[in-house]
Amino acid sequence: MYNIAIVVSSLLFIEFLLIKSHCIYADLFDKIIKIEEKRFKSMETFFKRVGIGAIVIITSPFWAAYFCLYVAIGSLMIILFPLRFFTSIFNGKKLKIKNHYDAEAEERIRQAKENNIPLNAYVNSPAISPNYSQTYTGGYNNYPPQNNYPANNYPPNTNPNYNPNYNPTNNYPQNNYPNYTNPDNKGKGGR
Amino acid sequence: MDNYFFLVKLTESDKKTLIALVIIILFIVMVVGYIQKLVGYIMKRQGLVIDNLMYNILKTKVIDKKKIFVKEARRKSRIYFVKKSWLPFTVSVLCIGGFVLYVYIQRDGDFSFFTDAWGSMMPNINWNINKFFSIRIPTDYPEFETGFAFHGTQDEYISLITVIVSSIPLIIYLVDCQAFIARSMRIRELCNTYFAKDVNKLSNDHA
Repeated sequence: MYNIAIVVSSLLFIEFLLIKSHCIYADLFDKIIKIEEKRFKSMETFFKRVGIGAIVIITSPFWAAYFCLYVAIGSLMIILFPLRFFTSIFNGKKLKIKNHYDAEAEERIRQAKENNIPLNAYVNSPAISPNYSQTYTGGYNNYPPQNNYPANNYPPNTNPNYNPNYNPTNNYPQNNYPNYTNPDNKGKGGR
Repeated sequence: MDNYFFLVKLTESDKKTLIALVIIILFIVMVVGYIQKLVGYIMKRQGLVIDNLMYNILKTKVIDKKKIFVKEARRKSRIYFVKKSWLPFTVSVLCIGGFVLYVYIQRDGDFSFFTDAWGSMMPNINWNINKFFSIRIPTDYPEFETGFAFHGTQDEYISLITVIVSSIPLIIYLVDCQAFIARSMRIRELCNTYFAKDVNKLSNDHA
C-alpha cells in the first residue's frame, strides 16, 4: 500500500512538473511545433515532387509517343497547307484566324458601345442578383443609375404585331391595341 | 533468405557509395518532378492563346454550343500553329535536306566526316567506370583529357553551321508543337468548365 502511494504520488508530481514546464515554455513549444510543421511541409513537398517525378519517368514513353504524334501531325499540316490554301482560293473560304464569328462578335461589341449596353447583357444569367431593397434616401439626383437600354432595342423583337413606336400612354405595347378613346368625348378634345 | 545477407558483408565504403547512389537517384527523380512543374506552367501559359482568340466570341455569346466552340477553336489553333511554325520548319528542313544532298553529291554518301569533326571539337572525357554489384557505373569524377577545340577545317565548319542552323529552328518548331498540344488541352478544359451546367449559378436567380 505504501509503495502504491509512492508511485501514484510520484506520477502526479511528474505530471505537475510537465504541466508547469508546458506553462513556462509554452511559447518555446509553439515555436518548436511551428518549425516541425514547416519541416513536415517541406518533406511533404519533397516526397510529392519525387512521386510526380517517378510517375513522369514511368509514363514518359506515352508522353514521348503523344508528342511525336503531334509533331508528325504538325509537319503534315505544314506540308499540306499550300494545298489547302489553293483549294480555299477556289472555294472562296479564306484561311484566316478571324472569320465570320469574330466579325459578328466585333459588330455586337461595336453596337454595345454605341448604345451604351454593358456586354454582360449578352450573358445568360447575371453573376449578382439585382438588389430590390434599394430605397429612396432623399434628393432628386441621388437615384441609382437606371438601365441605359434603349427601349425595345435589344433583343430585336421579331413579332409582326409588335409596335416599334414607343407610346408612353400605352402600357401594353406588345398587344398593339389602339389607345382607348371615350366615344362621348370624341371630337371634344378629350379621351 | 541467404540472399539478403550480402548487406551485412558490405564494407563501410560500399555502404557510403550505396547511400550516395540512392541520394543521387532521389535527386534526379526530384529534378524530373520540378521539370514537370516547369513544363506544366509553360504549357498553361501557351494554352491561354485560345482564351485570347476566343474571348470576344464567347463574351458576346456568338457561339453558345460546345460542338461549334470546339470546331472553331481547333480551326483557329491549327491556323495559328501553321502561321507560327512554317518558317522554322522550312528553314530546318531545307538545311538538313541541303546537308544530306551535299553529302550524297560531294562525299558519296559518307557521313563519317560529320562525326569525326564533332569528335575532334568536343572534349575527351575519361569516366572512371568500375563494377559495383555487377553493374558498371562511374565511381569517381571524370577527367578531362582534352578540352573544346576548333581547328578551323572545312569539315568542322560544315558540321558546326549545319547543326546550329538546323537545330535552332527545330527547337522553335518543337516548342510550337508543345504549344499546339497545350492549346488542344486548353480547349478540352474549357469544354468542361465554360460549357458546364452548374446548378449553383442558378441560385443567384432565385435569391
